[in-house]
Amino acid sequence: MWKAWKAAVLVGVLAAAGAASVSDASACGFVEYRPVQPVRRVPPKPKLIAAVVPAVDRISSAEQRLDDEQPAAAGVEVVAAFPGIRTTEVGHSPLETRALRILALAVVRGGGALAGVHGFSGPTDRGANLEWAVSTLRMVNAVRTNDPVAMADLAEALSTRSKYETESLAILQDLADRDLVGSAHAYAALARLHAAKGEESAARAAIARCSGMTRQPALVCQPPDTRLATRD
Amino acid sequence: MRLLEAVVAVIVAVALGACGHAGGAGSTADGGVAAVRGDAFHGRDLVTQFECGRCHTVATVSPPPKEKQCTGCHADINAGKVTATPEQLARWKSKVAELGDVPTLVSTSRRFQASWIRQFLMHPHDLRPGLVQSMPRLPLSEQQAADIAAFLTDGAPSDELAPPPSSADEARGRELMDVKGCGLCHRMTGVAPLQGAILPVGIAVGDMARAIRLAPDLRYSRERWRPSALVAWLVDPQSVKADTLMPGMGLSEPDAKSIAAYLLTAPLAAAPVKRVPVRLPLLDRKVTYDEVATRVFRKTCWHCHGEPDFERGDGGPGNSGGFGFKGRGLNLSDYPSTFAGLLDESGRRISLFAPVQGSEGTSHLVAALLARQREEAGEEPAIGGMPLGLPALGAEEVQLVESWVAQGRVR
Repeated sequence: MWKAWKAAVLVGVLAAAGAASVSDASACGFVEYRPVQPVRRVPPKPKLIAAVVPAVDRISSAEQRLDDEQPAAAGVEVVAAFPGIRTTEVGHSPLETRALRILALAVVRGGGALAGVHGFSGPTDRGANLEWAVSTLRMVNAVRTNDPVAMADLAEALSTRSKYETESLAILQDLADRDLVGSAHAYAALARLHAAKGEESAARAAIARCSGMTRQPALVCQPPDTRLATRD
Repeated sequence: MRLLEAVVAVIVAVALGACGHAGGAGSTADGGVAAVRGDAFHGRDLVTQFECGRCHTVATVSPPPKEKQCTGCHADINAGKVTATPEQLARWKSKVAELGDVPTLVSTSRRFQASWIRQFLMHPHDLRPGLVQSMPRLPLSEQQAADIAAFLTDGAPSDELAPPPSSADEARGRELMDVKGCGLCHRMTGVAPLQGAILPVGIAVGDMARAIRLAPDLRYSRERWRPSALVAWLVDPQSVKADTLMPGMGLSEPDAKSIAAYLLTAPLAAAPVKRVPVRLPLLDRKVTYDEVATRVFRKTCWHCHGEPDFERGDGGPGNSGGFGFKGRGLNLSDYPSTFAGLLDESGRRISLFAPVQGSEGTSHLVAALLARQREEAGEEPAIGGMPLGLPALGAEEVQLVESWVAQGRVR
């Protein structure tokens, strides 16, 4: 009697456990426990794939645009890679530092505005943008100590603001005297600064160096007087 | 007084020599009477300091971080293991296809003489004719070289002397080498060319290209190898160095001894000397940066003298320092950076185009390229040759660079 009762209980427990396990397994959604259904062939929906360009490729492209004297296009690429770049700190990452340098130079070469670049186009304050570029390139220069490229970039930016002209000239002249400048724009800035001081011979020498350093001398190495007329 | 000085000098020299040999365990380097005693413990630190692991796998020394591993990265590119577009990968592969193989520094204590390692570190030469890259001249002192040699031969007995020449063994050894096809992979300069028409046994066809690249010139066996170890190696290479591509040739010990006798004692003609190319006159035509960058800077220099703010990396050893060299801050990745020059010994920026003192106007850039040509010819110029550890530029490439510099380095 006891044995029959125990057997009945055991069967009941096993049955309950079996039922429970099927239920749990189904809930888990494992394929092998899913109820068999007729196979229906549904054509897959076309996926919308956005062409994702890696940030490093965009920055590389931006660098090329800047080199091709297309500052606005360079700015577009940088902001596409890093939408919040304007508030990013220099030194946050190597790639973002590189991006900041390109954007700051693009702003300088774009005269303080970049058409089509959010935050740098339209009714924006050109002066404020140039100050941002100066400040950014100062930080790049601080991070990349003793780097003539960073120093020349900074001096180029400084040359666009009257209040920094003396500082700009000091940097550029020192680098030029040591033959460490490889930027046509930096030599163009040096020419402008010399011309502003009436040093025509030095200005002409700087323009000559500028002309050998760019594929577009007519665009970059304009005679100092023309460029001076467009400065703030 | 002079006699007393001479006596003292002799006593010191003898004491140093004795001391060196008493050290055993590969702790000596016989660079003359006053042999430099090596410190294996310090040598291990130096292997890390001089970043031997950038190129070599070194037993018991942790490899450097992945981004500093030259050979490892090249091997990954060749194996398609890096994240890149197919176009990028194809481009990179074309540049490093030959740069994925370097001998591993394992089981060195079972094979090499400490004195040879020290000499090779101080005066590196082209040991492996099939390999594009070669051991660079590092800024090592004699003591540091001895320390590294002591580390790499730690636990081994003192250097061994070669057995006396035996013409019978030599002749038999040479015959065996030709029969076994040693010349298929190896060269032995200074003797009649080795024969090597048949594929050696025990080596996969796919490994042949690597084996040929890594095969050393056998003329140096007599300085490199412990004679006793050479016999064991010839009988069963894998038992001495597990990762070697050298196949077991089924040699008996007497046959291995005969080959070892030939390698260690066969008369050698003078080592072939590579001539320094004749310096060509400046070009009349216009030379632009783009041409120089394509044929020289971006082809060879840029990888070690790179941009530190790329996505990863540190600008390479030629920029931020490496292989025991301090950072020179030289970036040849683009036109403005090339003008930014390099840091001299005092840390001051100097132009790459400034003339080297006492060089009759040769710029630092051109002087380094010419120095590499002289290094390949067996000279040891005061200025380090570039590209470091890679073949020297040909006369026409140097002419191109020199002409560009002379023409004012136009874009």
